[in-house]
Amino acid sequence: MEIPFVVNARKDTGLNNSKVGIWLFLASEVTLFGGLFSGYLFLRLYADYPWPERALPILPGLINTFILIGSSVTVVFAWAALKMREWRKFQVYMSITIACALGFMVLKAIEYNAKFHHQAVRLKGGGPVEDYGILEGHLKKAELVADKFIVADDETTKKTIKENLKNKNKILIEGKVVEGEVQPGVLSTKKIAGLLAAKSEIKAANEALTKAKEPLEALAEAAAKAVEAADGAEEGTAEAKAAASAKEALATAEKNAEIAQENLEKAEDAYENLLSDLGHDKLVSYVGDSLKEFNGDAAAFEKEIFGKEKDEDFGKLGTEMVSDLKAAVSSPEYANKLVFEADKLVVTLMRPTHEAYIDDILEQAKERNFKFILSKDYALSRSGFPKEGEKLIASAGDALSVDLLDDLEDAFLDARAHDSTIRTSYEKASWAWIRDEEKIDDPGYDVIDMQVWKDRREDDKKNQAPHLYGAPSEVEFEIVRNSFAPCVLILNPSSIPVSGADQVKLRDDTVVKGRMLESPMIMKVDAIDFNSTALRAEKEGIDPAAAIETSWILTEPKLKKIWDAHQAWLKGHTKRLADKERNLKPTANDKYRVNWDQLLAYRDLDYDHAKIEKAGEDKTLKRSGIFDLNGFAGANHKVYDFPKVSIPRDKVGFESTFTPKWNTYYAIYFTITGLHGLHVIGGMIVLGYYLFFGRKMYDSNPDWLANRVEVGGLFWHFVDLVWIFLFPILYLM
Amino acid sequence: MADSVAEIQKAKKLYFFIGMLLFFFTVVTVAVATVEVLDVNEHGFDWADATIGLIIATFKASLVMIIFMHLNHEKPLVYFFYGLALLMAFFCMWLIGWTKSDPIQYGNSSRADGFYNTNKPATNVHGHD
Repeated sequence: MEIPFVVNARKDTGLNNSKVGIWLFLASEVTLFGGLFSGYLFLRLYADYPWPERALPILPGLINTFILIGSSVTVVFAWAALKMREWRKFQVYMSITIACALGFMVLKAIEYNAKFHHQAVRLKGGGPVEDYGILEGHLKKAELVADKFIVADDETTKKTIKENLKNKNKILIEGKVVEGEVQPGVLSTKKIAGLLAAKSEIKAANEALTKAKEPLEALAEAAAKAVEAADGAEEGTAEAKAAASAKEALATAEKNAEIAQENLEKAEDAYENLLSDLGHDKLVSYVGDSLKEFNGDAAAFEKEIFGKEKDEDFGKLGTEMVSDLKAAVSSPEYANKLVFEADKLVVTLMRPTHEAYIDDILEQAKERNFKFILSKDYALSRSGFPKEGEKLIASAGDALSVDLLDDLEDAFLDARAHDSTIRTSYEKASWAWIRDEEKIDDPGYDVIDMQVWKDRREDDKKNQAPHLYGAPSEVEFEIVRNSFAPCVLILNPSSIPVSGADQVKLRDDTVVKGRMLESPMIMKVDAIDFNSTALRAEKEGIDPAAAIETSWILTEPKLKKIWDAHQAWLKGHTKRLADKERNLKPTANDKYRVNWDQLLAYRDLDYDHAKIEKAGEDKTLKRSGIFDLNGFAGANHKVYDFPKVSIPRDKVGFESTFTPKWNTYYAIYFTITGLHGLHVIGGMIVLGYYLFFGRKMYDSNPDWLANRVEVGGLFWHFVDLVWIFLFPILYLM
Repeated sequence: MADSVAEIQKAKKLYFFIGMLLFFFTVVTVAVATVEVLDVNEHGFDWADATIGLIIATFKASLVMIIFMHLNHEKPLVYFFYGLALLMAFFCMWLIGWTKSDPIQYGNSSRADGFYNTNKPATNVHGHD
């Protein structure tokens, strides 16, 4: 069948059909993007936070603009080549167009990728505006942890450790996180010497005690014999004297033993005190009482516990364990996790739990060899009907599982529905009663203040109680530990809206009770932004500088140094702007934001305020400018080293990568550019089809192909046209 | 629209020239936004930069539409479609502005009964005393 009007125009429209089609389509596209641009306008005008101005690196956007304009020219050249029946030229121009489209998408991917890995943290805490300072950067790997300073002092414990290692149970993660490096429970030589001395004191005291106790038995026996021999003898006789001296000897020996016992207790106390001073009491409790001694130094320990000459097998396992742990905490994700030592889990039955959370908890528990079991029986029973009404849903000791929770939730909901029916029937009866008994027509809510109504409802409560299940709305699970491994749950901050020191509540209301271990957010900071703090301070009528002074950021020496340097630069910069005839003023970003390139420039000048101020005044501060290829898509953490800081978890107000979660700017940025990118891909496929499969049509009906290319080209120009607006509004404004 | 070989040859020169013009104005847009000497009005971004940026973008978009998309030679039906689409797009923007007149969300100058507007004293939004 011949398709009409693909080459020639219809008389009524004056156009060929495909053109009518594409223009209708483009009209709908204009409306679609018009809506999105309106969305942008709305979000920007009504934003309740400082809208990020010129926040995106300009260079990729600029190159992409050139690419799209260039491809618009080549696509129209490709159409012209077809019109002039120059197939070869058509191929060349169309290939360039498609290459441009590919180039555009590659740049977009680089840009997106940079955003997905760039982290932002909004701080919270004290100060008149609750901080609101923002740090940007990359999450940094935490480096481990070593439990390599622990030595087992007996073969049984060593064997147990070995078994644990074989079963892949992690023995210990103990230490202090300092700027990303988890330092092992380091014992200084002095402390180790003290411990060893205390340990030998115990040994000596023990020996003394044994020695003191040794003659006790013989002495007691001798004393008994002497007393027996002296029985009946008069005072002053040899027997009586011997008995008295034997008694005395026994008493002295007993006293000596008592003193030795006291000495031993003292030595043991001293040792325990030293241990607790080191803060390793927890460590000891994890691994049991047999593991108390700390050896000399790291090297000696390594030799002892991981050394090949001692036990090759064990050494290998030990190395594996350390590398396992290292791998676990070296992933960038770990730097952003909450490490929580769990005691109990409380699950609410009021709403369904989030299966993924429970699965994750179960998996972690399995990995660390502990489990959660139900603390007590969950039974539905009505006090009035002990037999008929009672139903055991789960028993104490049942292991936590999603299925178990489902059963409990179902039971709870059934019980609640049942209880509601009972309560409603009692209330209905009471309304009927008050109408009939008290002769109140159409009783309204006024009656609830009447005493008779109150009395009646009190009776109702008593009467309905035996019929109600009153099922508990939450269940508690306790921990059963199967190994020395600490019962640690590593939780994702995004699943926890509010975190506390002794419990965390997940978004599904599941509560983990225990202790928050140190879980700082470790970041290499590439920008400091106080725009939000300043905006909030201005709204409150507070001096922004005073509000900024209270921020946690300025308590961190590395960041304070940068901020102080920035103030020096700002001084020079302000002076230079004011010197001009136009009397310009610094922008909010000048005042409240240290960008990554400034941050590096200050360091290059050794934070020398005089030099930095001068650089601000002369405009000679090394700024990346728009043509710095190392900062092509923003701060480049592969090329530049940025200061590493450890942000305490309780100071983290909100954190996200630069994705829609962070703010509405990135929401609209990804929505519009994402949709535009899909158009680029779509256009590329259509134009590619003409290039690779168009030859046959070119041979049979070249005008038809030319019309097709013109239609495809119109779409492509539209894609360019949208970008012409996107570039300035997203990158430059 | 160019149909003969000579006309197409001539049009190609025009396309090339327009391409160069678009490149040039892209550079101008970036320069106005980033070069301090070209700062219009206040230092940094402000309404003047936004206006200039949007005027240049509109000018560039018009060139693409008129020359590359051949709107200078199109039939009335296409103008109708395009005009209608633009009208719709501006209608969307007007809708956004219209939300501003929502007294519950944004308060009202004559009745300061901002139910959600905490900056204004909340009065009884249901109209009872």
